[in-house]
Amino acid sequence: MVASEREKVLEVKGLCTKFHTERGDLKAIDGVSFCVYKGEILGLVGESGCGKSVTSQSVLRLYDEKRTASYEGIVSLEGEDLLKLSEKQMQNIRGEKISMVFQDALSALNPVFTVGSQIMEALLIHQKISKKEAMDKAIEMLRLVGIPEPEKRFAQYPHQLSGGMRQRVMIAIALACHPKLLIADEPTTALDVTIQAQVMELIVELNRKLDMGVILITHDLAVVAETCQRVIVMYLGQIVEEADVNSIFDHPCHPYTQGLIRSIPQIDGDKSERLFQISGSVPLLNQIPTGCRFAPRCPYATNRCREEMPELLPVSETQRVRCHRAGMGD
Amino acid sequence: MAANTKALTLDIGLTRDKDESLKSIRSRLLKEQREIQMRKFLKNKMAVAGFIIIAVMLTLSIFAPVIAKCDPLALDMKSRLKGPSAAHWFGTDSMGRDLFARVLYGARISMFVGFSVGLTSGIAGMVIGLYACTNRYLDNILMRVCDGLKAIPSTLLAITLMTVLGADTKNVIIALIIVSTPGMARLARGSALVAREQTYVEAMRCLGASKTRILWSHIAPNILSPVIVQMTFVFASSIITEAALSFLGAGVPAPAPSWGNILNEGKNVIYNAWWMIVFPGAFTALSVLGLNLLGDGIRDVLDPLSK
Repeated sequence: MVASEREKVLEVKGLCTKFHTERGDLKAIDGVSFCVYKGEILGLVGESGCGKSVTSQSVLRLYDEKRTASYEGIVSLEGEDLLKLSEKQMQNIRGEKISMVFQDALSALNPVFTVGSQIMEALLIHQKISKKEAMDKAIEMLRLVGIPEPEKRFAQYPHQLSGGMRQRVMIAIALACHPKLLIADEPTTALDVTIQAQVMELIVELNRKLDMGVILITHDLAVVAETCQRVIVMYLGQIVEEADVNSIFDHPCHPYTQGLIRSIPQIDGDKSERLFQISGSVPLLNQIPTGCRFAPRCPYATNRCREEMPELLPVSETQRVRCHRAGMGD
Repeated sequence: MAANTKALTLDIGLTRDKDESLKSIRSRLLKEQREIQMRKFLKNKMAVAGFIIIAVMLTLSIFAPVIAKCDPLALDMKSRLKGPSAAHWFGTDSMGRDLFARVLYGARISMFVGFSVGLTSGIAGMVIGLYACTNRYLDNILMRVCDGLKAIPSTLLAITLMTVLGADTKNVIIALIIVSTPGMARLARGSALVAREQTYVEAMRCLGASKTRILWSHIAPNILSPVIVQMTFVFASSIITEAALSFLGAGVPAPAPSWGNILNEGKNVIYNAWWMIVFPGAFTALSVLGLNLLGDGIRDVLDPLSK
């Protein structure tokens, strides 16, 4: 891994996202730091409510800063701190430099417009081109994402397409302006397995072709193993482990990662045995434990874990872990 | 798997119309779309009936001077309160005016009032509703004003407004717009609030669309169909309210042949001249029925998901 030599597309340093609620401010993201390199797919995994989606939406600053949320830290896209930009400047970043693919393509497409006009709109927002050029480009995009007979699909409405097609259209819209970074928020969760594989293949292929950074948010570790180069595991708004994809599957260091990997069903495993599960559930954001956040559910937790928050420290060149036990040779 | 078979059939389609340029493919597809909608509308018998009624009403009112030979205002004291005959199809009124002509010219007033009120309050309601969903404080102010206007019974409010504005067709329209816009605004706001929370709005934000753009080119088209349907119902209720106002003497001033005016004159002679009540009454009822049926039909066609 010569990761450090490669060009960083996105660098996030100490990102905190607070939500203003009636019960006070809740810190959904607490000091998250990571980076995405050019041409790399970074997996972001963790169970529901761990802050994967909040992280990605914070990068795009999608929450209403007047009422809903506030951000702290640095989110730098090619050296430019996005958190310092005005809303107007942010609008130029969204879709042009950073794009997003949503989980449910049917609801993420406007039902009253044809898919073609929605791709055209993405182009017309950011580029000064004529409608005719936009139309040609939109068809080009449909062809790029592997939609057969794009001229025909161009004039169809989202509900007339199959689920896999719709997700391809979503990807076409997101990539219309050739963004530097693509955030894919569980892009395949709503699809069946065959189509899932096709869509993932498409994302990998386009990632290579367009040389952009991809953040793949998922809770499917199999998808991560197949597509990502590096993985970030999140738990309760913090990164608990960051590693390249081989290390994370070969020797996961954090007990939470270990638990996640052990709970993948094995095709040749013992069928009579119950599948492993991590006991307990994610605590609410207003009941965050002191010390290590995973301690209440951790089988190895000690008194030190319950009192002192571990730092995210490197265990090898490519692996960082937030656990007191990590440095002690397991 | 499914995608592959689809691609196969599509390829066959592609070879057939290979020479077709992109533009012609698009226009063909749009034509198909329109044909599908048309067929769906035609399948709905009640909607077609409603459409025919309204089409006939509009034709009658537009071509009233051609169809009715008599002047609706010409007095003929010799033939007062004559029943329907070959010369006077609907009979004559207490001043000997031809009732057929009066009813047709009345349709003119009703259709004009109903249409302009429906259209204007639809547009105004949509603008108010859309702006209401952009800002919480603006929403509060606009909706409290609408609540206040809705709290007063609509006919009573219309009568009050007519007293202030003075009896005139133009003023009837203004009064009815004021009466029906709050309901429209509430409907538009409700639909816009639902549309605003949809993922596609968030997706548009992710694409860098400004708030104005999202509001007008993405939320607005999505609330259009309930507003259009409501417009046909406002059209119908405006016809009734206009007739009621004229009947009470607070609407279109007397010599003009509005349905309400004819009914008002007819009420004095209800026992000797049934035609004075039956014909304008039937026309009012038919128009309202037609509009309601048409509105239901339009709703079915405009819903993009009911295919």
